[in-house]
Amino acid sequence: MPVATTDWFNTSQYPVPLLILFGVGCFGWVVAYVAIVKSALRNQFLEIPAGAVVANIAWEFVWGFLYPNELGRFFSWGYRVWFFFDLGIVYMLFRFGDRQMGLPELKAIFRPACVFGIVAWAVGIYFFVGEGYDTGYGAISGYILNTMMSALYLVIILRHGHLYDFSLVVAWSKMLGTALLTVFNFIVQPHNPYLLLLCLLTLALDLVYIGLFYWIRSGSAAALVSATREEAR
Amino acid sequence: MSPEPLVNTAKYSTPELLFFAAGGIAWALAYMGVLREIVRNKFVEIPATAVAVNIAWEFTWGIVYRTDLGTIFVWGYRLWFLLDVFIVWGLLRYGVRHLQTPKLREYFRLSVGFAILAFAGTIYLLVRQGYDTSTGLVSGYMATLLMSALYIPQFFRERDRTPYSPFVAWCKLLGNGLVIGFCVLVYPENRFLQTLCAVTLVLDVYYVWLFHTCRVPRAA
Repeated sequence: MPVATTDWFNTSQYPVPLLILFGVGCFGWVVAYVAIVKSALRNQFLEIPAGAVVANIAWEFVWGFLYPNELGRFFSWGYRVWFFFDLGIVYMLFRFGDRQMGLPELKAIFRPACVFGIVAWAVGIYFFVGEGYDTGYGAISGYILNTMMSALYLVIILRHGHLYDFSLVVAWSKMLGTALLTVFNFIVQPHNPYLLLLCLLTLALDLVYIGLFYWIRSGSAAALVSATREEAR
Repeated sequence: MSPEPLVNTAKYSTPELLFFAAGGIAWALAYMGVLREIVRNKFVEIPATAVAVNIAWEFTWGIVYRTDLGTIFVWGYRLWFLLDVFIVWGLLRYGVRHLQTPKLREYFRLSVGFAILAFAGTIYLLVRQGYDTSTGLVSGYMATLLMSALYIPQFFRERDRTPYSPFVAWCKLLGNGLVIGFCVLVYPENRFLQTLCAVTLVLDVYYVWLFHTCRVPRAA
């Protein structure tokens, strides 16, 4: 179980430069969220995969409200800010997230499946932390979701294919945000190779995604994307 | 040091061991059902990602680590692994059928290989980190939940659903249900594992219902 701290910044356990590193990494994700919302409002298409949205909001709820953050109260509030940003994304998920699904059968069960997903992830993460499997700031559960999200991003960009519905700012900010948090984890959790492997896998997938983005944009992957889109229909 | 017993009745009660054994047999039957479809129809019904995570789990728990249920169960895990090796072979040979895009086929085997290595590495380290039970069921149900979730969209996406086997659907549900019985008896305090079990069961029951209501070819 995470240990509650009354400090805004837990400098007794984490040096200031490390807390700044973590804060900047988190800010990278705020930039990504803002860009996701802007892009969704403009295109009426939510680029973040539905499976990742439901897991994210559940994680932010559990870590923002139910467990204390070992890094300090400031970071608990940071997680809550993420949560409120993510509420907007969840709203858009229910509004037009079903456009991610090609088939009418999948569209029909989309909203109930999202509700089920959010509840299942929230309960699962709550007990994951309760069993003592997580770090004091939610890194392991967070990176399980992050790895899944990064893998799903590759699938969704190939399936959907219209690059104007995807943001390069999101691609870079989520990669950089995650990379900074990865550096933080390498310094703070050097004896947790499980977490570190998740960090490296996420980084690799994020880099592949950025590469794929540029590849599609250059026109070299036009045949691949159009064929994938046809298949998804 | 005393030799490992055939079945570990010192730690587990007979009903617990029976639940696990019956569940394990149901899973072996499900694998055989999948293999039969591979041979008959050149069709792999398990989603590719689920095949990758499964073989990774069975390799890790069958070969690298050892369950404390007893020697019979150690060999049971290895039998799963062996059956799954053939399923992976089928996936690499025929799994590209799920992708009807020639362009994507070029990357299919590479992606499957990467996924197997990535899952094996994470499961190996998850166990080494002490997050698993001595029977491998925390990582096992993470993998099973993923499989049960992926079965549903894949079933919807398939134009021709006739090669999907009712035998496999039921064996999978039964196998999971029985091993969940074991989890409830042996790990009542592990709420995370119970949650994984409950979600998996819901998804499996939904899949069986879906299977029997929607197993008609989708209009092209």
